[in-house]
Parts: sequence; structure tokens; C-alpha cells
Amino acid sequence: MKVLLIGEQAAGVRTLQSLAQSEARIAAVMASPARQIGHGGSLWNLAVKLGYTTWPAELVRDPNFATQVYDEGVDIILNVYSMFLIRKEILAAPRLGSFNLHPGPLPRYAGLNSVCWAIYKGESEHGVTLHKMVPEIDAGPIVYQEVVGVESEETGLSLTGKCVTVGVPLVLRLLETAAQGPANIPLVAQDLTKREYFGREVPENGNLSWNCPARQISNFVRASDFFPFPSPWGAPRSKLGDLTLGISKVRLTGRPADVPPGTVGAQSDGGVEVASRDEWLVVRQMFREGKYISAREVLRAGDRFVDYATLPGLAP
Amino acid sequence: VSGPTPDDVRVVITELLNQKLKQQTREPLNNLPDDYDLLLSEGLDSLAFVEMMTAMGERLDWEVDLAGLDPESVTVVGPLCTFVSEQLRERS
Repeated sequence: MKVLLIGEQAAGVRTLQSLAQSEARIAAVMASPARQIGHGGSLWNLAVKLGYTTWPAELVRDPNFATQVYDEGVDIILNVYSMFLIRKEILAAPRLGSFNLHPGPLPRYAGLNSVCWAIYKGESEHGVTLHKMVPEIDAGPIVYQEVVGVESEETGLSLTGKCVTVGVPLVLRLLETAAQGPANIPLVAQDLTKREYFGREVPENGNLSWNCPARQISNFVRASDFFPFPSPWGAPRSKLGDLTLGISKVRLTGRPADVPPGTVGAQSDGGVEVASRDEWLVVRQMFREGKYISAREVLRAGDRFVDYATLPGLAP
Repeated sequence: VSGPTPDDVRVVITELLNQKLKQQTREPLNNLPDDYDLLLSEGLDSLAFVEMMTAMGERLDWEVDLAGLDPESVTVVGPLCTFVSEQLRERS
């Protein structure tokens, strides 16, 4: 089985490591050549180290690239967390088609940052889907799907890790099935009436309202938490006087708050308490001017965060 | 004050790193210097780093909490060992 791997990030790295130990033949690896500092070993660097042919991932934007894929005799394109939309001519070029590993339970949570959205919405379960690619994003027939649990303290980073751990074996399973005969590959049409699609948008434009239940605030902060790596959503923002602060780690206390939301309370449990609509939360880490800081460096009892809904131009 | 010293933590990190390297059929390492960056030096991916921290938490009975460490230093052996050691010694 001749495979063209298009990918990025740790998911791409894990997939290549698994493919390298399988019977698959790797036609080439397509990724971003520039190393992303802070993301660890890149897929491109690993492919070079292992001696595979590397092509820049952005070639998938060029419909003429389909000829090269066809001429290489590629059986399957595997798309694993790539950042580029693949032209339909290229999707159709491999003998058996193109397949995408998506960190979401399609047809729900199609599109971008599905892991973040699942935590933000308070899901107790999420999923990973391997599907055949069609020109519409994440809309093709499902090959395999697995469920992962979302724990109460789950973060964007930890759930991403779960999805990769569960998802990469699905890719290998596809290759084994395809080797036995292409007709064995399950292709279950998605019920697109249940489709949910998310783009580049961030909830509430990235602004955090303290006038919400503590659980909802915690969900937003954990969904955005990829510490120590960059978050696709950034840290939810809140204003304290003239300061704009990102809220990057909070902890629920379960203690009712009877002061106005956004009011800063006492130091506690490695951070500083801030009132939500219903409970006190402990803010443990914040983000200011490009740096993570302890909440204790900034917050003083009696301070009060401005609710963003009252700021001009910020209300949804 | 009891609890593991930074060098004790370094021993654990070295062992866990070598487990990762073994999975990748790579040679083990000894004597990790303070400025050794687990991500940049060895090309571990972000998930491998998170898995290492989880395993270290289980090994040292440490609640994995890196929030107090500068993200620029969080993957660098010296600061990481000192930070984890201080957290564990404060607790004990």
C-alpha cells in the first residue's frame, strides 16, 4: 500500500512513526518545512531523519499537483491534522482515495478546534473519526470512529492527546483493511442533518464574562488551555481597570459567591478567588503582555473585573 | 526538609526519556545537562512531553501542575527538575 502522508503536529508525527513500523510504503511526507518552536519535533524533521521524501504541504493548494500524485502511483492519501485545504483534483488522484483523521465525532464537531468546542460545551464524551475526504470539509463517508471520555478537569491539550492516541490506530486499521481489498473499507454516509461546523471563530470573541456559572467559565478556560504550548483560541480575556488579562488556569471551589460577579476575593489554593455568577473560582494563572504570570502578582482583594458585556463594542 | 532533590527528579526524567527513545529505537542518554531541552534537543513531540509529565507524576506522587513555571523553561531539564523538587519538598 503506497501512502502519501499529509500532516502536522504531534498527530502527524505519531502517524509517521506508526507507518514507519508498518508494511505501508511511504511515497512522501507533506508538512510545513519551517520548524515550529515550542511544538517539539516537527513532522518534516522526523521525515527527513527517517529518510523519506518530503514535499511542502502547501502544494496541496495547486490542482496541478494531482498529476504528481497520480504519477507516483499513490494508493491512499492520509491527511492528519494538516493546515491546508486539499484541492478536489488531488483528493481524487490516489487509487483508493483520500482519508482524513478528524478529532471529532462527525457529523457533529466538523471543522476547526473541535476539541476546544467539545470542552467549552461541557461534553462528557468526544470522538475521533476517520473518513473518506470529499470536497466539502469533514463531510465524507465514515470509515471508523471511536469515542473518548471528557473528564471534569480535561484541557484542550489533554483531550487532543487522547484523540491522537485513539486516532492513529484507526489509520493503521484502514491500511490493513485496504490491503485485504478496497471493497472491505467501510464507507458509512454521514447524516448531514446532524452536522455541526466550526470555523476559526472563538466563543464570545475570546472575552470571558464573570456573569456566568462557574462551570461555564471553567469550561471556557480549560478548552483554551494548551499550556505550555500555544492555544488556538488564546486565553479568554477579561478587563481589570485598564489591564487586559488572559485567564489561563482556574479551579472550581464549589463555594457559593454572594458578591457581584468579577469581584476578587482572598488568596486560596495556589491562586486568588474571583466570584462568578454562582460560585467562587480560584484563578491560578494568567496571561499578560505575552507572558504567563501568577494571579497573585496582579489580583488584590476587592478588585473587580469589568464584565465584557458592558464594554462598548464587545457585547455579543 | 525532605522529598526528592533536583538530581533525584533528573534521574526519573532521564529514565522516562530513555523509555521514549527506546520506543523510537534510539540510543539512550545519560547525564542530561541543565540546559537540555526535552522538546528541541530530542525532537519529542508535545504529546510525548505530556505523557512524560503524567508518568513522572505517577512515579513521584506529584500532581502534575506546571502552571508556576515559565513556559520558556518548562521543557528544559534544569528548571523543570528544580521546580518539581520544590513543589514536592513544599508539600512534604
